[in-house]
Amino acid sequence: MGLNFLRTAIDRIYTGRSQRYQAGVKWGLLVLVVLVLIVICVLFLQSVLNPDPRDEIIGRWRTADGETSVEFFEDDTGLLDLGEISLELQYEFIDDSQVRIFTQTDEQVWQYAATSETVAIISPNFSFKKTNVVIDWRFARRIVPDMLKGLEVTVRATLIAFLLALLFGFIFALARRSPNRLVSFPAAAIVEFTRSTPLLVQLFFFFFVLPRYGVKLPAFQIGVVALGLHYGTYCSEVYRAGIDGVEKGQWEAATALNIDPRRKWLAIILPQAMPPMIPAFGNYLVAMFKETAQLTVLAIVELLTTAQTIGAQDFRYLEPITMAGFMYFAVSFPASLIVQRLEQRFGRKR
Amino acid sequence: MNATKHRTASTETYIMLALVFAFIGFVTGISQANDPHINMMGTVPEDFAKTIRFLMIAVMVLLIGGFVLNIERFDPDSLTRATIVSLLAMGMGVVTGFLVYEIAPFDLLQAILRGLGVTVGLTAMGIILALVVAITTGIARTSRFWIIRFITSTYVEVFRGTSVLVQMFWIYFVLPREPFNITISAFEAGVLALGLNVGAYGAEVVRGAIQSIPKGQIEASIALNMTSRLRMQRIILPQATVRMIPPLGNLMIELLKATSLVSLITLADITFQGKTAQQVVGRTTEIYILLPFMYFALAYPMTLGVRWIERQRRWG
Repeated sequence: MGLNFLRTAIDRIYTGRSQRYQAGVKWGLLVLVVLVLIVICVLFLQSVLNPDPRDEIIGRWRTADGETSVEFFEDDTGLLDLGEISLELQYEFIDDSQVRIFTQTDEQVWQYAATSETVAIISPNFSFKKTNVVIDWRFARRIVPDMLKGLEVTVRATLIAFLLALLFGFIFALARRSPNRLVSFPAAAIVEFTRSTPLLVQLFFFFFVLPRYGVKLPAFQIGVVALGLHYGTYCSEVYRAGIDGVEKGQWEAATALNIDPRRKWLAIILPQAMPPMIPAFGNYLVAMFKETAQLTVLAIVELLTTAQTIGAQDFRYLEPITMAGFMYFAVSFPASLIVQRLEQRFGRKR
Repeated sequence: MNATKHRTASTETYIMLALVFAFIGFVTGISQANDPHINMMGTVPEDFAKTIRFLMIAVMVLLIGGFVLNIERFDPDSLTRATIVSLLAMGMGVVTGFLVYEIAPFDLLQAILRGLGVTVGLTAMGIILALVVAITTGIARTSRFWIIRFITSTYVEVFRGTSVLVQMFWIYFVLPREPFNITISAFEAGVLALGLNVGAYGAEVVRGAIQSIPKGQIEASIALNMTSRLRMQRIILPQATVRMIPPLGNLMIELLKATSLVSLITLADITFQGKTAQQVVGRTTEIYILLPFMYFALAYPMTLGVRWIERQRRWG
């Protein structure tokens, strides 16, 4: 009984009657995403709440042929993996690149030699090369703060670029609707050209060509402006479609009633033009969020750049890139659901 | 007082006049230009004064012409009109000839076009994969069974919810190592990522087109005792195909634009060749003005093709 009430309440809030068929699938997907989130949090918390010193691997070395590897744990013990057998060992560091290993039968001094096959750095924080662990949850836990920093940069870039796109779109739309062909033709040409060109190429253009002609801006601002211009052209189409979507009779009635232009625009045209524009802008906001991944080439440290840098340290790409993809999805999927809801409320066919 | 009716020449005459004088101007412009850059390692002429001068003349010519064409009250007879048209055409021809021959970086074009095969190949195979995925997934999303709908919806939402670059990186960097250990070349990674991503968007388009068929036709086909397969074949697919071709065409153009991202996976498409050319020669402005024009030259025929297909109303 309560379940039925809940279901009707959700239906009424979330969607209209005819959309129940699709709503079930989307709702199920959202529940799945939330469940996966909960599972991941639980796994993280597990490693936080039950630290096993043997789990705290601070270093793992591997010989050049890849046959032998050794793991160093926090409590001065380690594990020597010779392929078929594993030996317990104890270690102590003589200096930065030499370590004395004690096994049950042997005592050796090993020297760290940096080749492309072995590990990278000797320091209090070792970096290591994976042997046979599928998903390293500790590694994933460790990189979360850096990834969140990248996410913050991404979100900031998206929001600023979106505002710029709204502004540029408005300017382009005005220029295209101008009766003066000297203004409308170049504007139309610019819009068509920008829409047929990849964003990456435009980013390169703004980054490499503009400084030669005096415009020296930091990379973040250049990237954001380029993104805003690119999507400004799409937004100009939305503005035009919205304003042209107002029935002609409204314009004629305003003229007949002798309403001054300011009042005509504010009271009659814009309130009718804007509602269908909102879900379109929302779609472009979500698209821009995903396209900020291309700002990598401008050396802007956003989410995907951070993931790539982290992965390149140890050639361990699975966790960073999967986490980056998951973060993109976790932000854009609920956003797109919200945009769909906006479309049902403000869409054109009512 | 009535104005006397002038007998004005037809539009075709003006066009022919314009073309003739434009050609004359073009040849004049070429004759004034220096030798084009043939040698890639040659020095770049830093003297832009000539170019700027001609640019200013071009702007003045276009302004005067635009002014003349826009004035409504000005109503010259055909001789004056013809003079203006031919002067305009010759001026534009001179400028175009000079600029094209002087500034056109033929050697850069040669270098960048080495990547054209990769771009076109990526686009073609990406389009094939995307279409296959879109049609199968789109039809599957209208299935009776909830589980099929759920699985395909998950695929569509995941691939629409992350950007193409993330997917490309994932396929290229994550799959070759543990735990998957799938060796995959950069080209295959690009084709896979592009095809799967654009296919997800296409699946939504296909599903929307299928579901936009009025329900009355489906009910009528049930009343006429048609099997589901016959209904799909005779009623739904012909109409849905017409409705889904324009959005799918736009998606194909988006795929072409997205092929530029494979330059970040070190695949030698035209963007990558442009970047390497820039590191070798350093003529940044020319390269990054040439590159968008090449993408435009590839995308514009596709746009025209999509519009042509839209105009063909009769399908089967």
